[in-house]
Amino acid sequence: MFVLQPILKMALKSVINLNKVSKKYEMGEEVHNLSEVEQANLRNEHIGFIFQIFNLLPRTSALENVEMPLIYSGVPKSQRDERAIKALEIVGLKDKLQNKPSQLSGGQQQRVAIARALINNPSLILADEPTGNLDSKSGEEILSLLNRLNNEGNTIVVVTHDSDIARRAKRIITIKDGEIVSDKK
Amino acid sequence: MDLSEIFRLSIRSITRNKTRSVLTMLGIIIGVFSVILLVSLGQGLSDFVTGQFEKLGSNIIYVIPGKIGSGGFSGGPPNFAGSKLTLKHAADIAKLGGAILDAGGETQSISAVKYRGKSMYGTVVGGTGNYMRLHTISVSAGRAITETDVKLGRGVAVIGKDVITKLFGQVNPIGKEVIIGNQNLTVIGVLSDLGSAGAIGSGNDHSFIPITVATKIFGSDNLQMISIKAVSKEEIPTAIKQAKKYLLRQLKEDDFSVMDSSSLLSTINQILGVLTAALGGIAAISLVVGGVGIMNIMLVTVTERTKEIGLRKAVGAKPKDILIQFVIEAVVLSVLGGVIGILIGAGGALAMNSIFPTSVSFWSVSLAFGVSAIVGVVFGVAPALKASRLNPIDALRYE
Repeated sequence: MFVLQPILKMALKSVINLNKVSKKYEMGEEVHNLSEVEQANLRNEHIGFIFQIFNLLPRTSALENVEMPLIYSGVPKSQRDERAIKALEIVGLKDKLQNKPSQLSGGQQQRVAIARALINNPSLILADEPTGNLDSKSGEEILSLLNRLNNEGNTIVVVTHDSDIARRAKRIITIKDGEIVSDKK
Repeated sequence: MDLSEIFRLSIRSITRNKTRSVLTMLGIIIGVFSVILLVSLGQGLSDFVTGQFEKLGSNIIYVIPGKIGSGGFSGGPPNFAGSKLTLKHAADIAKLGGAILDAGGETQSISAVKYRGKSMYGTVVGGTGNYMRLHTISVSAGRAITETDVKLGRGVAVIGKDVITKLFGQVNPIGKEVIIGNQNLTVIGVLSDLGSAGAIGSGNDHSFIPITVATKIFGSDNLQMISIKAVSKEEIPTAIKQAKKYLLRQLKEDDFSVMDSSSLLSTINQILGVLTAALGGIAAISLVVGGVGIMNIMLVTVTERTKEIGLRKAVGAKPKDILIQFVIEAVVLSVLGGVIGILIGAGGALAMNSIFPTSVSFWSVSLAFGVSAIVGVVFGVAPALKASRLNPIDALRYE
């Protein structure tokens, strides 16, 4: 499994055309040279994260979990609710707004996390083994959701060891010991 | 990130761990409670003393044994035990004339007053014949102590309301014999109600006896105080000068102090002020301890919520956002504790008012509130800084 920061660096340096991300961040710019605040803004506005272990706030409703990135971009509460409901609708959890993570299945939790990644309309969604903690049925649901989102125009980078998952991507970059060994479209 | 959002977050995390929050706040609650209570007591005592002095009338000048500096008791406390003031001094001063109308001496002690197996502790005041007149103390029944009683050393006593209730009940005390020290004294009068001040005691537990009898009971010839009545309020400085001039011929400068009621009052209030500040200061130490408790629990909270911090940073929280969130949480804890402490302290002070004079002042409440908020900031910053500096990746992987 990769560490997030090298992925981010790799993704921004060689995989993604950064001009598409933002005019602020030029092609080839090393993100670890950005200040902490700039990094935070970059994560907030341009990147959505999906983790293997979901990383939802416990004892906090699905709605509030999804809203969290918007808090840090200074969106007022009413708009946050509206956008979070929309995002949860996209991932098919409109009826679980007030459920806490403990009241959701693993697949549902991951969908909440995807909604959270989507909420700020990021230029890039990074998914680190998104199905690693799920049974195959929920995993399949999550992958088709990601495929759908990808087809709707979202850029998604999935890090995985599973070649079956990799085959569903439009472009596969194989990395070994930090070096790119192949890049197939 | 707007402040109301941060407040909502901190209130939620505080209510999530109710027991822990209450225990953490307890330190601040106790600190603020004791500061408020002690300062209220000091203030109340000071108000009470001021009130009593105002009742005494303002034309009275006091001669007290020992040297009392103008800036308070810089020369040591009044030296009652080693007093060199005598009845002769009082009598001489009374005859000085000029701005001085009259003068009397007194000595007092806490002593038991006994009647047929019953006894009551109270203040026994031995005074010169003019003492009661000087201090405008009147009797509600019987008669006051006269010059003749003093001159002949008659075993007589004028006793207060509370003493009578305790010793005699419904029986008419006039003419009955009470025992004070080793002397049998005939009750000749009952004091008018001198007012009560709860636990401090009141004038109603006093007994007045001739000074000549008191010196026999207490075994000392010296006076604890000479009271001088000036002709008028305007003549007080002249009267003080006269008394000083006379006393300097009789005694050394260090043996006595002359002051009028206003300077005596300011001296007493000064002592009470120092006492209040000292007590408040000691209580304030517990506020610091409370602050350390908050810091401790916030450090635990930061460690516990490392993952949450990592996640918040991953989705775009800046170090400042995390810092503010945890500082506000500490401040909410301490201010909440402070408000509860103020309510309990002020409530306690008001409840105590019936047995001990207390006065809850606005400044002590606002000070306690401000201090608890500052405690929250000061002791909240270190844990919050720790939280804000966490690396998002390390924090997310923290187990």
